[in-house]
Amino acid sequence: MESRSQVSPRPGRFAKRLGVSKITYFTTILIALLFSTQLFACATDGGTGRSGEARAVDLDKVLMCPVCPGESLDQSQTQLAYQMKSVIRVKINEGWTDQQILDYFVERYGSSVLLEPQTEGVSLLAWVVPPVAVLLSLIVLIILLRIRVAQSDKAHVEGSDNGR
Amino acid sequence: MAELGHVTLILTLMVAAYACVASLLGSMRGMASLVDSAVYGLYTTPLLLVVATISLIYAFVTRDFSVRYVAENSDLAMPKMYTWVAFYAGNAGSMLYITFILALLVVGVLYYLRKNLREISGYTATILSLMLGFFVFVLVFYANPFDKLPVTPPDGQGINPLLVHLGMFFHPPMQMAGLISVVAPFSIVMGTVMAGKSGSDIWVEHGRTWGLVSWLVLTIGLMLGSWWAYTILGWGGYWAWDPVENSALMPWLVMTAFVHTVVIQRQRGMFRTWNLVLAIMAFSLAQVGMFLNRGGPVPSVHSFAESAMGWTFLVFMAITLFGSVVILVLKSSKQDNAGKLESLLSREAAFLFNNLLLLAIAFITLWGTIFPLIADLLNNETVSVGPPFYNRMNGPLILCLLVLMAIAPMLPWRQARFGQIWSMLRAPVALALAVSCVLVIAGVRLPLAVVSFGIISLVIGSVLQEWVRGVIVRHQRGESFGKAFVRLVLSNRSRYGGYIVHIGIMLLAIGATGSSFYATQEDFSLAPGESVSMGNYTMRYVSLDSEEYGNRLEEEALFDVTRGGHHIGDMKPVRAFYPGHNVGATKAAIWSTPLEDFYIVPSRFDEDGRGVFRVHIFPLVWWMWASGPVLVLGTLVAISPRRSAHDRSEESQTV
Repeated sequence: MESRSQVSPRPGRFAKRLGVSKITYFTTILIALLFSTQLFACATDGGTGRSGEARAVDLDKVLMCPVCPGESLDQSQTQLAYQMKSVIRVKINEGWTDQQILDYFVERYGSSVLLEPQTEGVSLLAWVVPPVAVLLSLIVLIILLRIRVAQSDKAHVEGSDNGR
Repeated sequence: MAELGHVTLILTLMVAAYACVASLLGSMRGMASLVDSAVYGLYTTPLLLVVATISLIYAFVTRDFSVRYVAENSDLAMPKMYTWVAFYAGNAGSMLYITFILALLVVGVLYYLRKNLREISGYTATILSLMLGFFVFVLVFYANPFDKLPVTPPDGQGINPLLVHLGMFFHPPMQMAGLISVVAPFSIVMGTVMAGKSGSDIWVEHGRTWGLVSWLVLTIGLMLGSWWAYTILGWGGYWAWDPVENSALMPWLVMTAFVHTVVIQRQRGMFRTWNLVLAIMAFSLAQVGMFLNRGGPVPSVHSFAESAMGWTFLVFMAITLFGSVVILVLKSSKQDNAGKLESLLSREAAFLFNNLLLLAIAFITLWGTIFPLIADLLNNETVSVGPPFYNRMNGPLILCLLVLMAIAPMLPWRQARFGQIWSMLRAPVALALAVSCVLVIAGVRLPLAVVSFGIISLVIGSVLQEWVRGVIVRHQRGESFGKAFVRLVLSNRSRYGGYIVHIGIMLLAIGATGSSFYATQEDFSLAPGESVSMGNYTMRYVSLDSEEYGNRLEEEALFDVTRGGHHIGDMKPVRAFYPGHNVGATKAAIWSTPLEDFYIVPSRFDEDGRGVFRVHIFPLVWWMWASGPVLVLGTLVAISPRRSAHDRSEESQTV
């Protein structure tokens, strides 16, 4: 078991080496994590300059077949799914945007035909709650851990190390 | 025969009720003989339930349509072999199956505890008999598989033809067994708390063992389900974030967290209460899973017939959860000496971050699964939550978890310096960068894919580095390389079993990354004789063979396939139609290599034999299935008992 004096503690030390305060250091890490979410958003969205068929397939994956529970148009083999898929391709060729096509189907089948919740109204809750909850728990965990570490520091200084 | 089944169920209910009261009273009053009587009573329950099981199977095999369940789940056309499958295909039958498995678990856990940790076995028996009692109660009063019909129909209704398949022998039983198996670590934990020992570590070794057993069964169930979906359902996917799939995933995630932090508790006596909470959470989620499976509040391709029975599960789950928390609070005992957290940069802290990530993924999965209900309640809006949502929300968390998997195992206990960590990570990071460069040069350009493969290499590199180091150290002590390798694993089963499991997860990640980012698909319309090319492959549609069977029309297309000039062979995708159920089923033809899968699904055929086919190329999926045996092997190594005192002392120093 190594004695305290040999070990140099604290990630804060690394922060000092970088020349930034601990708060800045950890905040940067948190922001980096946040950006990774953006990475995902960009990667899964794709731009508008993609081929028609690629766009169609992406739309197929986001729309649900209304008569089969939980299957996307892409997965489903029913007649209705085929019809909807051809409608999508026709509309893409006519120049409709992705959002217009989605709105078209929502109008006819209701918002449950979308496989991901929309970003307005109650559905916005679906998108907001998870990142907020996760971030909050991360912050709470880090704070709790730092308190624990400080307590154990104090205990050690006071000589009550229990040797476990 | 069916009456016999019914009687055994009632008997089991009586035994469970008696055992619950007797074990509780006996434990509280210190009357060992009372506890013994309860336990011996419980030992008879698998026998009783086996009789019930056999009588139901007998009813199926003899086509006894006077029994409602048999009439609803089989017909004369069903091959006898599949009647075993029909047994658990419906609500009541699957309940009987789960109850039977539960009885086996009850016996297994109690027998084990009476040998290894007798002091909590009484209270654990109380919990187990309560659970068993609930299930049998539901069976007897709500979902009796032996209910008789007033008039015996000449033929049954038959089951969904999609279920009449080899996969049905394995996936549902494993999956259901996995969900109920969470009762084992849960009951050990609650037994410890009720015995007033929640501040101690006496239960940790055994909780870990049973936690791993439960995790293993859950993992096998999930893998089989994915494999079945991929090979049979013809849509080319293996995971759809369907509510029922999610309900099996959530307990798995929490059990993963549990088996990690119990290691910390075993080593340093930390996180005791947290581990108790995790076990309670895992079991509650398993109960939520059973509710979702049967309640039908959220539409799913998996749903059993919706029934009011689902709500009894939800109520029972609420009672269990509430009761567990109350017991935990009321019976919390003084903590034994515990280790202290010395740094955020330590294995202990890293495992807590592991827990945070796993629970976050579980929360997001739960949130997405029940959000349609929430939206309906709040706004009367029907909303669907599908794969795009889960992929976007869980994706970053999974990546973070992978990174953590590379770093955490090499973190020392108590405290680490950045310099230490960096010097350990140098080689794996170099490997990851090298792999990423090679991939980019080879044409893999999607940034997320490159990052994913890079992180996977990082984890594999870090595991290999630890392993190689361990072997070298032993070799320097005089063992040959081969012997060092084997003895290293055997003397540190916990750690090396874990490493093998981590490698298994990496194989799974390789399969998931390849097939998610680089899958291609195309639809072709072909007449017999025509050829078409996709990627490296050329497929010639040779002929269409139509066969009429008793209950279905099968159309099998014959393809002659070559790849890069080499003749691969014949591929035969099939499309079947069941007029009785008005449902169609497709069976994909799959040519699988470690590099990629070539996958043909027939969509429809015309009279002249012309067919529309969807062809997929799925890179690297093979690795996903290869991970299955690796995961099983790793878990078995980790569970296997340490043989000698020497092994035990060596292991306690290193893990």
